[in-house]
Amino acid sequence: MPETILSICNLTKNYGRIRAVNDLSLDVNKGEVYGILGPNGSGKTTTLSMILDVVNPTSGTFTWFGQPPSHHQRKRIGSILEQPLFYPYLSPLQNLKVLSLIKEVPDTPSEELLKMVGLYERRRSKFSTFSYGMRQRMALAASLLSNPDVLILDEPTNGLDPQGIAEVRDLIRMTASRGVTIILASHLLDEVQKTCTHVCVLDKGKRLFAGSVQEVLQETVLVEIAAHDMATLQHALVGSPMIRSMELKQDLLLVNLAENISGSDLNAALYRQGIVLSHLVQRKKTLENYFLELLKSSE
Amino acid sequence: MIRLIRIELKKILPYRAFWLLAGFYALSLTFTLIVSQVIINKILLEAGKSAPIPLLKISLYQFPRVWNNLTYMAGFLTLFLAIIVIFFVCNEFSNKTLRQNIINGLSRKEFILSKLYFILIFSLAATLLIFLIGLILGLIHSNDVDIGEIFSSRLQFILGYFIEVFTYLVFAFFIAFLLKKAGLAVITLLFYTMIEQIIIWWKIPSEYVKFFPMKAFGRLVHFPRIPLPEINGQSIRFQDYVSILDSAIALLYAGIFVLLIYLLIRKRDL
Ligand SMILES: Nc1ncnc2c1ncn2[C@@H]1O[C@H](COP(=O)(O)OP(=O)(O)OP(=O)(O)O)[C@@H](O)[C@H]1O
Ligand SMILES: [Mg+2]
Repeated sequence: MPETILSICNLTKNYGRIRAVNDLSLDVNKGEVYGILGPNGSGKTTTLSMILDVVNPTSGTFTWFGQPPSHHQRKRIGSILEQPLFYPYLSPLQNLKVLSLIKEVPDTPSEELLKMVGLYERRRSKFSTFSYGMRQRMALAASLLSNPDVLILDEPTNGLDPQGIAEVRDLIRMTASRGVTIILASHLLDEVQKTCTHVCVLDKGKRLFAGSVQEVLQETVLVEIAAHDMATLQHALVGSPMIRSMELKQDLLLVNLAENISGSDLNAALYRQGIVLSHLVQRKKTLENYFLELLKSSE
Repeated sequence: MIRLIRIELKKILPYRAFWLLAGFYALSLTFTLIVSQVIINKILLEAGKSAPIPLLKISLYQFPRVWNNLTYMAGFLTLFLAIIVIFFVCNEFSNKTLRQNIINGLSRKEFILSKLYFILIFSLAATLLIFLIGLILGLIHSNDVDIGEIFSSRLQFILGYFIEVFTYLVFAFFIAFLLKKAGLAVITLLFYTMIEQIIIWWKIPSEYVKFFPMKAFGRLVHFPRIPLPEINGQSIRFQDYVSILDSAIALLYAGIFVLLIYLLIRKRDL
């Protein structure tokens, strides 16, 4: 039985009439890299804010490390929530000092961390003089200061240069390999696919899916097909039980196959209906396909 | 407690604006004190020319009355200290560092406590400043100094001043916390002081006046001690001591505001 790090149970948050998070339940186990996906405004940040106790849930509960929430647990969690927030008139070293006092850990790794994120030369400049990407890097350094058991990253690659993005990816992998549990909200599906072991997809505050990335990629079979007469082809597939959905892209039809249906099954079926395919390619399975698919079908 | 105080000090000591404001306060305080003595001497000098009997040159700052007069006059400048507190607290909202502090593992209660410690230390520092200024002015203005006069029972005005500053700053903390925006908070503080004054002047019988917050914070040291001659056989009633009841009311208000702050932070999304 894996050790449960975070367990969210029927969490709901209303902002006036907007329901930002809707009856959300999920579990994150030790060592997982858990991706939270969802379009803008789907409630990712609100969810993370609730489990970090800066937003009060309308209803529902959560536990950290199997315990009811308390501020002592948050000392074991390193987090970046949306924007990097620091005292603008303090330098990185001074900011990390304040942080270390809050977290009750020594601030000895400060210089090492600043070197790692490439801010060592600027360790004595005021935070307010930093560029956006530098601030994000500073936030990364801060999130690692306490040698946390859990890392919560909300859009950690926001505003970073390509090198920075690659560094963050390496950092996540490295940190995860040390057994640190990571919860990651991101729009970069490619990133999530490369780094996460589990995902949860939110839309309008509701959970559409939760499971392992492997599971998702096995489940989805996407093929692109074309025929001489695209209209007939499309017509033949409308409402077919063999597919989940389809989408016309230029002169190709992108088809998401139903469970246990392969490309050749589809081809055979169409052939029986007198439609000859001029093109049939199985697309590489990606989280992105699945994600877009899922959102479309939930509309 | 030590940890929370260290956090506050790390936050504010490197803050240049803080030192600027604090320095400005110290300067205007010194200025006010010197100027008021000069003006009084001038008035007495003018009056002395036409008076049948020669008026003695008086000093506001002789021991032991210096404690009374000094704390009374310093009371007019407490607003500066309140503005510093308001800026410091509102910064935590505008920089969203309060939110980050909580995320990092400070509890909401600890946050309030840390700010209260800051206010406590700040009030102590302001009181110490007044004490030192009083000591210096007193030594300059008294002819023969007697230790007993320096540390007379009038030293209780220093304690009264401390309670006055502390409770007033707690009130400023509350306003800042309620409104989150520094400008708005400062304006509200001024505006509230005015409104309360008007209401009191308009409707309130004098025995209840002391129950109003601004009066409660402001009246611990509320009448200066000037050696005026008797007028029509009635001597003016000066304040000889700091009232325990007044101090209790002020501290009670401070307690209520702390409680309100606590209720606010518990319910609020940060
Ligand atoms: N303080 C607030 N007051 C009112 N509504 C809010 C507040 N914060 C968030 N919302 C609403 O809650 C919903 C979810 O917002 P949230 O920030 O959680 O989305 P998100 O998934 O993080 O989006 P993004 O990908 O853009 O970061 C949105 O509809 C948003 O308008
Ligand atoms: Mg967000």
